[in-house]
Amino acid sequence: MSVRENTEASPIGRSATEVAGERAERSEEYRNARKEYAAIRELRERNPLAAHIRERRYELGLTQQQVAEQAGTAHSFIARIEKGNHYPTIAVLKRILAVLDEEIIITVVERGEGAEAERSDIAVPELVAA
Amino acid sequence: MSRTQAVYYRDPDGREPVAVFIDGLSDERAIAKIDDAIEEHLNGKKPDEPPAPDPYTSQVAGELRELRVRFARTRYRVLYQRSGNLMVLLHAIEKNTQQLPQEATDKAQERMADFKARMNAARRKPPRAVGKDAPPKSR
Repeated sequence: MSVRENTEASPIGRSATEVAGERAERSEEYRNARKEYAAIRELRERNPLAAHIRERRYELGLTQQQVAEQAGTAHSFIARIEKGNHYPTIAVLKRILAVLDEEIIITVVERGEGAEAERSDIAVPELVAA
Repeated sequence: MSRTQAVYYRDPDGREPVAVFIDGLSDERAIAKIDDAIEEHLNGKKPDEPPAPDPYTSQVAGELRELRVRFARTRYRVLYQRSGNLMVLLHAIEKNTQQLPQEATDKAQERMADFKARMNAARRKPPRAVGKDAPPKSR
């Protein structure tokens, strides 16, 4: 009669990196998505707002053209924002985020030492000129 | 100096529940985003490095933490716990409520207890005899 050693499997399964490699081999869509997220991560380092817009648009399956049309701005303008080369005005940002099912709230924090800072959230009005 | 590495918890039947959950998602982009978050926030940390801050990870209970991933309109949570340089991925859910459901926490804690018990059992096994202590080959 043979005694089998280690009949219980180890509780340490595969590494996440190994499994990710298997997923990349199996699916082109997965590989492309990993590339997109790597690019977004890099963009976030230098322009978090651009990275946020690019990521959200990608996940909702919208093209830059669709966002531009629905936000009432130009395709090239959205492209420049997503490259991190241009900051929109608050009013345009509000319209872009509305297309992405989000809204902007500006939080103002009092500067200074000592007492706990006062925070106030300011809603962005519709009538701010673009 | 060894860095942290995320690994899937494997149950006594040989299944990796978090890998099963992730592979069951219908959108490859969501799978890619979760893997990207694991790589960025759980892999490659120094031993003394604090966990990734809110909103990327947060404490659930004791040493149990959650990795937070939002994909489009869906929120995912991967519950994990550190064990030495391993980040053990214990449980994953799609989060539809404000609070993390208690059953998710219970499930993750149950799996971590099993993980520790099996690791200790493996450690307690005596080393195989070698040299003059080894049993004769003819046996």
